[in-house]
Amino acid sequence: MNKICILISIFLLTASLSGCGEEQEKIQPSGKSIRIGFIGPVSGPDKVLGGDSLKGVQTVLHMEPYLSNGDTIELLVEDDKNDPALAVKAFKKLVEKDKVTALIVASSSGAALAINELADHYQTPVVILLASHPDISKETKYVSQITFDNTFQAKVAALFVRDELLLERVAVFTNPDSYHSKSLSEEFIRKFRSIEGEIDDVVSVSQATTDYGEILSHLRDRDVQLLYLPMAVENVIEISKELQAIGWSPEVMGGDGLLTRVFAEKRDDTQYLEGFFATDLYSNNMEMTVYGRKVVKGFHSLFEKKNSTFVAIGVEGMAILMNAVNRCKESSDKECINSKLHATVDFEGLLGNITIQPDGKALRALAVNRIREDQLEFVVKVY
Amino acid sequence: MESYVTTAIFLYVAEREDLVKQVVDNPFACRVRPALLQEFLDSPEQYLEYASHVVVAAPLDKIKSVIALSLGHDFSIGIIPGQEQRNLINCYELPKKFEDALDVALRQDVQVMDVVLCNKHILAFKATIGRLPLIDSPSNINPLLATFKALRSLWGLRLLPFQYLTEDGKAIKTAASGCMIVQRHKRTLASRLISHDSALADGMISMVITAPTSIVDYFNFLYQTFLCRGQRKRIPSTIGYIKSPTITIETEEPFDVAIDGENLTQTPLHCETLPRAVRINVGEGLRESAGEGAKNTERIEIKNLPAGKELTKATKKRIPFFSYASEERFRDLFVSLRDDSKIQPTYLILMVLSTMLAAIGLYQSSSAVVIGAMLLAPLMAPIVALAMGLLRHDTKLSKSSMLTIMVGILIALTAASLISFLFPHKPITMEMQARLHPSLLDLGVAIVAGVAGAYTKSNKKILQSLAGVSIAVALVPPLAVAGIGLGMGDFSFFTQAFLLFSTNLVGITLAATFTFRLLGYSPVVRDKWGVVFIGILLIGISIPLYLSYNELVDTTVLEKNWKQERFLVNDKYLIVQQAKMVHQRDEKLLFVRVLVREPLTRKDLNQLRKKIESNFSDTVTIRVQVIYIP
Repeated sequence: MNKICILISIFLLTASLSGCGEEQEKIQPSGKSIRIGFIGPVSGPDKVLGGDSLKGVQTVLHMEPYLSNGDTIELLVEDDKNDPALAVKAFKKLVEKDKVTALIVASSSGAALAINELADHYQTPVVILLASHPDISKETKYVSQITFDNTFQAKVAALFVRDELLLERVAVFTNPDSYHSKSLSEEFIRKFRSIEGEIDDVVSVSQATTDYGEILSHLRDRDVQLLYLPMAVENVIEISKELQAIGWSPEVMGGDGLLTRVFAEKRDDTQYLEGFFATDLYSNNMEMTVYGRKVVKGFHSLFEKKNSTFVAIGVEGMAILMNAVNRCKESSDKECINSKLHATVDFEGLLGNITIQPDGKALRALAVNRIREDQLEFVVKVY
Repeated sequence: MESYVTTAIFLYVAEREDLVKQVVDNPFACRVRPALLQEFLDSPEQYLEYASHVVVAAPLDKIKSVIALSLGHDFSIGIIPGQEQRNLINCYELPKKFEDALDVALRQDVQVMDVVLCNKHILAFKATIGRLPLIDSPSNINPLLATFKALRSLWGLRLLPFQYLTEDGKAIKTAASGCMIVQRHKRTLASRLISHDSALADGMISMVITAPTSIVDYFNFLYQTFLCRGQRKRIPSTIGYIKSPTITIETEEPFDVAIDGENLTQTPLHCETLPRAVRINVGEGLRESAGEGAKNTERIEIKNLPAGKELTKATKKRIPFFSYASEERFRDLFVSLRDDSKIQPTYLILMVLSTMLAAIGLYQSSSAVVIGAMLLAPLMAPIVALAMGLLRHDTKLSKSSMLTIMVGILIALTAASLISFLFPHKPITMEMQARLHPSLLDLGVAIVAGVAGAYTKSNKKILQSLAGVSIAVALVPPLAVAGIGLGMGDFSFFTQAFLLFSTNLVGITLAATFTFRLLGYSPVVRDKWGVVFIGILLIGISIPLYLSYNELVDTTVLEKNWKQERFLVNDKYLIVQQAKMVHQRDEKLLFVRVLVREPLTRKDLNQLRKKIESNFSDTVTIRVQVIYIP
């Protein structure tokens, strides 16, 4: 009886433990390396964009120091201060002189648009992290956009306001000098009107505008229910201050990266964003993927800083690029890398899957958040 | 109106000479002749001609000499204690203040009392042998301090063989950590335990024996002791009590015996009572309670002490964590368990009826009927019996329980299969579905139910709660579902439901085994291999249950999160109102209810499907319900 028990026990234990022995195959270093260029504003007023994104890229390289063939990645960083001219210069230096295999760009739409023409000329794959202008990947086959574009973002914002908040009277603020602001506001207006919404006013302001009192009083008198503010941080804060001054509290919705930028640039003013809606790639309380949780650990083992939207997009951009390189026989084969980038399907990002379509645009979810106590509180996720 | 003796002799030691004047000048009109105590002891006759009442102010050993002398000279004794003689004050409940003590000492109404002699030494209040964790402490001890002392006493505590002989010739062989003869010592926990049964002149010796057979037992004793603040009639566990005119204590090796706090002699110890041998002035409290409730018949309460086979085990090493018990001690329970383990006609009939009821209730999807079947099911009893069989390595009990369980399973599967044959239409109802996805939570229910089942079975007072346990663990409905699966020829259906039943069976058996162990029904888990086997089965079962639990968690999270999902499909905004994931055999079905304002084309639905699918790494069948809103 005892022997039978022992045999059955051993069998059951073996059976139960058999699934636990899977060991990840260790990569043997090949001794070779490829160069990847990073362009972004790592100094100047927009340094949070480049600085944080670079930390995301470095986190991935720390977590996965080798490509699947054992090659390493040498990261070359160029600071463009978010200036299109400097971005072009950096691009040429990295491609011509440093012979990089691919580039990651963390600049805004202006600088990114200036680069995209060069990508085709130099036939070098470019991964655009932050720029969400709809034309970023237009008429070029070497650019991949990691974030959703402004068309999608503005449409979702309009539909959310109309179908979920059930508001119909909206005023849109726009800065014609900013690619980002202009494209978002135009698409929002178009979509909102198409779904029987009423755009009461389109307020065109420059970054230098500070006197919003009269404009806002006028909008209040017209019973505007929501202000759509795809604007620079300074403008949004000034408007919020003025709203408080005149004692008016309409719903307010901003664009992507709003809270992150306020944190970086105007830390003491985050209170002015309380209660605002904002479209973004991420949320503080959204369920993370397994990969997302792993990355957060990896990031905190490297940096003491709080992670941000820009860190996250840096992680995803680098991870997607590495995934494409790993699927190529030769890690320096630019053509292959580009084609694999454009064939990225359901790549596990930090909060959900990302697909890069053949036209270079990303198909990924967008989060509508509400800012509460310096956090992006998740409201809905839109695919 | 108190009356006082007219003449008395005041015996003092040199240190108490200051009292002489006050005693001589007492306000009670008593003529007092002072004398040095030693002089009195040397020639008592010379003094006793003057008076037949003696007042003493001296250390305890000297007082005992006076008491010893009184046995042959027939004089009464009054005592004036010093402030520091707390034991003496407690023993006779004497006033602390000199004036009050003098008042008591010169009174005429003396109390007739027994004298206890232990190996010829007079015992004033207590004699202790061995280690007496806590019971020797003051009864008003701070519970925190008591706990600390109790934990300290535990260190190295072991039981040693003792034999006690009483006046009636009873020889009690047991194992104990120590014992204590308690005579008029109201302020210890021991005296509190027996206070209802002691008297000043009952001709009896009271002895408390401490025998914690395990650490669990010991803590149980502490709990009982501190819980009961007043007098109690029941002796707590770990304590034995003997009351007899004479007690002889024998040990294998000589033990020191502390009489009234001083090591005066060793075992063997013979204690005898000299009934009504002395007359002493005692305090009001003692006088009032003297003899209340006490019977002068021999009393032996030793059911809490180790005996028979337990005795050998108890004295081998330090006290174990868990208790051990002989079958004799729990005779009723074992008789009941043996009955439960047998295949009896009632068992067979109830199995058939409960399975039929469960099967019909499952087809009806009626919770009430299924609960009725649970109540009717007799399976819990042989499972609990199996647990005891495994614990005590009672092969006969284990085998008969296993046979009974297996017969029950066969009956249930057969009955449920036959019923499913009878139904031409075979719907899979929600009640059935609920039993097709066992998870770790079900194992948790089984384990708790196993603990509850064993505890309920071991305690007659709460036996009626067994019905609740049966409902909680629901043994027959999963078997009925498994039987229905067999009847339908659906093996997956059968295995899922049978996995739930196996979970319950294994979980209850193991939990009940350890609960019986905790309750002290066996010194060790004797059938180790049997329990190891059940444990391994438990691990084996836990793997699919763990996977299933993870799936359950994922599904719950998904269903919750999906209420915040939206889809932009060809510029149309789709709001997810509800999502439900259903696992049907190997297929995952996602039911999604979406709200939309504009009509959806097939192209839209196709894109929606693709977007939904992109959220899942494995294949999911998607069912979308579209609700158009204005």
